[in-house]
Formats: sequence, structure tokens, C-alpha cells
Amino acid sequence: MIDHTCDQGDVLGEIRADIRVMKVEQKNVYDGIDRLCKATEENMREARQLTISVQEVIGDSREFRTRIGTVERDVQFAFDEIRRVSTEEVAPLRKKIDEIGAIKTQLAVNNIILTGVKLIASAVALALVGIGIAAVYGRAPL
Amino acid sequence: MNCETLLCYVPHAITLLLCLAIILTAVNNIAMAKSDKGTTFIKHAVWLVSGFQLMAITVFLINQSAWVFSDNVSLVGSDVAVSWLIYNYLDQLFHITIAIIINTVLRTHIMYNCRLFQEYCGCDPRDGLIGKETN
Repeated sequence: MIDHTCDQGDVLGEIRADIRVMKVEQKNVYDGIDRLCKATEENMREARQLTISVQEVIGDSREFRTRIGTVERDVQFAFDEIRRVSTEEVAPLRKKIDEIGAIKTQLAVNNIILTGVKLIASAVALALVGIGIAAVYGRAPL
Repeated sequence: MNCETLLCYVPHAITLLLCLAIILTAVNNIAMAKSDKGTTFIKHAVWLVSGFQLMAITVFLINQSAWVFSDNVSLVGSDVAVSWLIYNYLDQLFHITIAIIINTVLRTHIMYNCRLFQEYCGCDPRDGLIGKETN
């Protein structure tokens, strides 16, 4: 407040003092604005860098997706190939294996029958030997 | 006629061998029928036939040994004795043939079962034997 009772010199002095104070404050405000601007610029730069990073990540993920698609197609192709091979090549082999198994079984059956025949033949031979001995010695163990 | 050499006892030994073979085969048949997964009728039939075989051979062995140890050998003539020996051998051959046929049929049956249900019974069909029990 200007005191009207004071001298003009005092008033001017006060005004000048106020102006100095205001200049100082204005300078402080400008400094603050400069700092804010600098900080904003830094933030903007970081934001741009982040944006670039995000774009790179998005690009990488797109590339990954493309690669995964390629791998999926390869895997599908491999499955189709395996299925084709199994139906066209393994099925006849399996049939052959079954046939060989049947032959083996038949051979085993023949072996079992042959063993039985051998046993019966041995028993008959033994009986003939016994009868021969009894006939030769004229005595049977009855 | 008295027999001086050990050869005279060979017919005894042959009789014993044949009886032993019949007993072993019949016991094996009973064991195989027990472990086989065939029908109950076949099992009962095998048990019945093998059981009668075992009983017949046991009674025959008892009678034969009693006859021999009681020294009644000279009571009958040689012709009668030899003809009875032939009869005994034929009887034993009949029994052993029946037992071996049953054994062969059972082995074949078990082997085919193994081949058909290989994963189920866990046995090798090439063995053609009883294999493992699954239960």
C-alpha cells in the first residue's frame, strides 16, 4: 500500500523495491519455467525412446508370430508326412510281422506235436525192448 | 526159470519208466488245465481223465510190486507172463498216448491264447508254455 502521507521519494523507493522483488520473483518464475521445460523435454525424449522400444518389441513379436506360423506349418507338414508314411509303408510291414508271427506260432505248434510224437515213439521203443528181453530170457516180471 | 543177470530186470525198469512218464504227464496236464483260461468243461474233462489215469497207474504199480515182492513170478508160465507183459505195456502206451495228446492240445491252446491276448496275459507266445498268471 502506498502511504499518501509519505514523500514521493519514499514511494518511488518502495515501488522500485517492489519492482526489484517482482523482478527477482519473475526471474525465479522464468527459471522454474526453464527447468520445467527442460524436464519436459527430457521426459519427451524418454517417451520417444520408449515408443521406439515398444515399436521394436511389436516388430519383434510380429516377426515371432510369423516364425511361429512357419514352424506350425512345418510341424503340420511333418505330421502329414508321418501319417502318410505310417499308412503307406508301416502298414505292409505290420502285416508282414503278423504273418511272421503266425508262421512262428505254427512252427511252435509243430514243435509241440513233434515232441509228443517223439515221446510216444520212445515209449513204444522201450516197450518193444522190454518185450524182446522178456521173450529172449523166457521170463516176464509179472 | 530163475533170472541171473540184471537184464531180466530191464522190463521192470521199463514198466517203472512208463508209469513215471504217465504220472508226470498227467500231473502236468492237471496243472496246465488249472492255469488255462479255457472253458470249465475242458478243465473238468482234463481233470477227470488225468485223475483216472493217475489212479489206474497207482493201483497198477501197487499190484505189480506186491506180485513181484511176494515171489509169485514162477506161478504162471512164461507164455502167460509175456502176454501179460505185452498187455501191461500196451495199457501203459495207451495211457501215455492219451496223456501226451491232452498235453499237446493244452499246450497248443495256451499258446494260441497267449498269441491272441499277448498284452493281456503277458506271456511270450513263442514259449508255448503256461506263462504267467494274470490274476
